[in-house]
Amino acid sequence: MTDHDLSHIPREARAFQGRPAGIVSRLIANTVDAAVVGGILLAAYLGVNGLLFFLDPRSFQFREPIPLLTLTSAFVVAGLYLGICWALVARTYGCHVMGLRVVGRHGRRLRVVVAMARAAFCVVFPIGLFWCVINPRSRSVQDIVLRTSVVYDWMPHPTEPAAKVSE
Amino acid sequence: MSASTELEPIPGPDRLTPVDLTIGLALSAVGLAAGVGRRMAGAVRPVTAPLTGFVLRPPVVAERYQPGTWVVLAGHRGAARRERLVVEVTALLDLLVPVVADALLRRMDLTDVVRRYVDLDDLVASVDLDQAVERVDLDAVIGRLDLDRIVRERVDLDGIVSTVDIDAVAARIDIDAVIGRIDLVGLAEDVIAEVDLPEIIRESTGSMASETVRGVRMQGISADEAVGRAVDRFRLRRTRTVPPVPPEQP
Repeated sequence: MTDHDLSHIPREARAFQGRPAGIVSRLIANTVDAAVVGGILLAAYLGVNGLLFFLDPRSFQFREPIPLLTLTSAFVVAGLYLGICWALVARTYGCHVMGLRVVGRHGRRLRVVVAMARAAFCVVFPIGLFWCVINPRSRSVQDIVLRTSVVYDWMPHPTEPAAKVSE
Repeated sequence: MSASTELEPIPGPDRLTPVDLTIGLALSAVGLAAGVGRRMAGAVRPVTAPLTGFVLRPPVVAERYQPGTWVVLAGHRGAARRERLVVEVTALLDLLVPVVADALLRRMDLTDVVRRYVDLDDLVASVDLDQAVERVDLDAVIGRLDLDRIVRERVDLDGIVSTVDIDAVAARIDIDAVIGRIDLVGLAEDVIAEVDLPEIIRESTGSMASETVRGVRMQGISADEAVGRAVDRFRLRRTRTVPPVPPEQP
């Protein structure tokens, strides 16, 4: 990350750029992502009901959400959302809000396979995030297994492979 | 003599020179002889005129043998010879005069001669300058001048402009007509395109939002650091409480 790139970042935050992110920032980012997934599910639920209303307005009633289907949909949507975002732009909306970036080895963006695997791992085993509290390099279980990292990177556009990652 | 008298007046009797005296006496003698001759000729004309006619035109001699005829023929030959001489002398002068004039002019200071003998003021006063100027092609003269350079180097434009009443000039300008000729809408669109107003609005809006985001991010980093320090303290305390491993006995 060059000095020119850093000039867009506040002076007090420049020292943290490229360093592994801590549990608080990642939890907030995940909370935002959860809200995004919830919004997507809500939009999908409203969309389905709207479609049903459009097809048969007279006998229309809001469908009760099916718990198993809802849970499955939430897992699928969350996995796709996380995996696609990490593979395409190396950050989800929550990461964008908190200035984080998910990178692989050498600070590069994740490959699609790795991104989808990490997303599935995070959805199935979310508690693995808390391993970053006791890990000296702030790496979660998913990071250790897949050799990924979450770093502070306030730059709006990817600066790979300049982002320094301590693996 | 009169011109010489005007240029160099004859000095008084006390300054009389032998040359002037000689010339004066010679002229007096010539004048006296001419007068005597004229009187004698007038006196003898009644006698000599019939005698001369008889000698030139004797009555008993054929005309072609008369002396008068010979005289007339001699006169004609003389006239023809004189005409040829005029032609020859003219040709000779055409050759000699330029050479002589060139030699003379090279040996003379004409400027000094003109300054001494010509009244230039009087000469110029007699010239019709207006008529001369009318024959000058002023457009051609102006075309050969670099007026821009002359004005730039020799004219005090600042001084001239400072004397102009700009307010009075501006008061006479029809602002409405000027504005009417301007494409204000197109001009405004060009200005907005150059300034990129939408980008400014986006940046100002984004800066307000980014202040909040920046604060959240910094709070997150601070919390991360606090958690990290707490974990480090806990780890150190555990490290101190762990008893050292005794060396293995062989």
